[in-house]
Amino acid sequence: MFHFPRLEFSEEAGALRKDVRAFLASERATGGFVPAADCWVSAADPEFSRKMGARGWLGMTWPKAYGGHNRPVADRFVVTEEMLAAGAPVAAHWIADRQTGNHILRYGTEEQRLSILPRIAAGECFTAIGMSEPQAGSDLAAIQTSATRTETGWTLSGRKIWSTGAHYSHYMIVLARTSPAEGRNRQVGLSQFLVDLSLPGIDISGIEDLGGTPHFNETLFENVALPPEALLGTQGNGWAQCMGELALERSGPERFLTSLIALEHALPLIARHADERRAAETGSILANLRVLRRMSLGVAQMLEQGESPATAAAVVKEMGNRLENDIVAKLRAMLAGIPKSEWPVGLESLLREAVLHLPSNTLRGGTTEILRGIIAREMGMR
Amino acid sequence: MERETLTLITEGLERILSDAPLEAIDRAGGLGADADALWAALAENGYPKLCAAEAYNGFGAALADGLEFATITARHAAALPLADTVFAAGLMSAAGCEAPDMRIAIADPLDPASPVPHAAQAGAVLFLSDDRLICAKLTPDDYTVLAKAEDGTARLHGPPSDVIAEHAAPRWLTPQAFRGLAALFRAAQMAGAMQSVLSMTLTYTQEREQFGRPLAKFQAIQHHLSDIACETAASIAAVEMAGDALRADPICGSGVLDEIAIAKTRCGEAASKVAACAHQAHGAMGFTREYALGRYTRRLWQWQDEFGSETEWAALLGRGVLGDAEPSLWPRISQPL
Repeated sequence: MFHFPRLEFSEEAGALRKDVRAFLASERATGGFVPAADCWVSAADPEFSRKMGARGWLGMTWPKAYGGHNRPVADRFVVTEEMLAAGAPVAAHWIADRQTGNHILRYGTEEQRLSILPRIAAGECFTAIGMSEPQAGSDLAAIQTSATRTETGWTLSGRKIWSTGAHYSHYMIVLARTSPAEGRNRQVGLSQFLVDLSLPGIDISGIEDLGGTPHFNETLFENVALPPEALLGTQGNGWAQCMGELALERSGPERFLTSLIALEHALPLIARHADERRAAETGSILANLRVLRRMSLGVAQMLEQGESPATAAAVVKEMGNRLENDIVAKLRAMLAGIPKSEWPVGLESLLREAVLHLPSNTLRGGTTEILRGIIAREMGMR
Repeated sequence: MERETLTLITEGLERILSDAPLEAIDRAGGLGADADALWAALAENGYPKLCAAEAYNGFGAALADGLEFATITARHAAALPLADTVFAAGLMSAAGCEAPDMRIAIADPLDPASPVPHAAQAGAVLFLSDDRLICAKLTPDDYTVLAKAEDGTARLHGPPSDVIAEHAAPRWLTPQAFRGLAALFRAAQMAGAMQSVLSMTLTYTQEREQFGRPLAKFQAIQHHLSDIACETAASIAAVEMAGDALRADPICGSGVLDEIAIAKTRCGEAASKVAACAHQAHGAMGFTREYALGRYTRRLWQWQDEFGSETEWAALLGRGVLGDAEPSLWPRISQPL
């Protein structure tokens, strides 16, 4: 858990970074987007996603046979981190590109791969996560959504909650119980389903977050008839598959680059009021972000090598989430004493947005407490 | 240096340190017969001159390789100036002279009045003055040992005059570069000490029982251990990143100095957190002189302040960012590794 291998960027990655920056500058200049904090969750723009797909920046690491571009994981890292740093509207495709697509690539049937992956890579197919339920949050194994075998496939019944983007998504990977728990072992008997959200019996209702953005949802499944091929991976292997999915979900740059956009917007102002205290806060943020990025790249490297670095991913997310909140706190401290008359347009609202997202950083994708538990288990404490 | 050769050497170092009576040496302040015997064993293997060229009786390893030595000695909390001597012999070799066969302390060129770590344990001190690299003999008359400090840290009465070797410093070896490299060695030492603090705290909390179960079973304790593990992992990564940069640019260009500033900042921040969590988990036992945890945490607290604290290094980094024509963090964060 201490070794984060070094990932080197190729020359192509350097050229790619220039392309991405040029694209972002031109989009910003032509009104294609207004930079947003927490953009990978809150700023969905299907048109922007299609533009990225057209440039070959989605599904980058997947084989060409599935619409991918067969590029190294470092190249995908370049695209995602540049998008986050710019606050670009990447939420629509984020989950599909980050985890669902990879998950289908690993566990899906050839038919599932061929029908869905090219659409994700084109920026035309979006997906949502169906893990949490009203009664099963951190205690994921307590889920009650069930899928039962029928003559024509499966019947799915239950309720999923906190699914970001379900209201514009085409598919959701749903974790459901397909056979009872064995005594106290509740991790058996779970399976994953790739559910087409246009099927009858599915009702998606938006939930406003603390700041009033309706980005996540509750989804009701009422006796939804699924075809047999909706099963993703192996029946009964849902728990292990889910944990693999979480390694993809937890280690990326979105776990520490979400608030940066607000800080960057404020930096010229802070520079005009530079003093030792502000310099030290700025330097500390730089040091923390740069080191965490190296660790995140290390996890990306491990994933590319076929490992399932669940604990290393938990380490990155745990530190990244705390850092996000630390950045907002430091930003407020650095701005203290600078008259509002000098603040650049948009800074106040970016800061408000970042503040209102503080609680979610350390909750979504596994709470700080759950992550610390994972790390402690790895050390043999549990 | 070839990876395999370096591994053989570090394994040898590990063996010698594991067999040495390090607790007794620590209690004696790194002085006395046991300390002398340990140093003799290290010197016999040529380890103090790891980073000196073969022409100067060294192994010809890069300073970046020396970081591993620093980490290992710190993992053992060995009360001796091995890291500093390796550093000094490496710099003297770069300047074109051979280091004396002594324990060598190093002085901070940017703050000449600051106490010199290891002064009382060393026979000589290396300092940089007016572009000259000077190695001078140290005797007890030259310094006053600082109370409550580790490893014979002492305030010099003035620049020592009994010069053993003096040479023009290489052009790249500015006072900033000298201090930066020394700071990186301290960062590597902090990363090493943290690894031991983690394993000690893990063992202690698994053995110690309260309320009828091991401390390790309490979530609050698990969270302390998780914090220690995360901070340790980040420190190791920070030192590796700066080490990689130094390996690619051994004359310590500005890009390397930035990575060093990042490493000293990050490790210094981690040291406070790791020490606090470890002591909290150990309870009163850890607050005794007798228990071994203090050998590590006392050094963590000292190393975080030597050759520039995390706040000083962070301010240096920050001044660089804020002084840019278009101040922005992202171009610096996204530099290739």
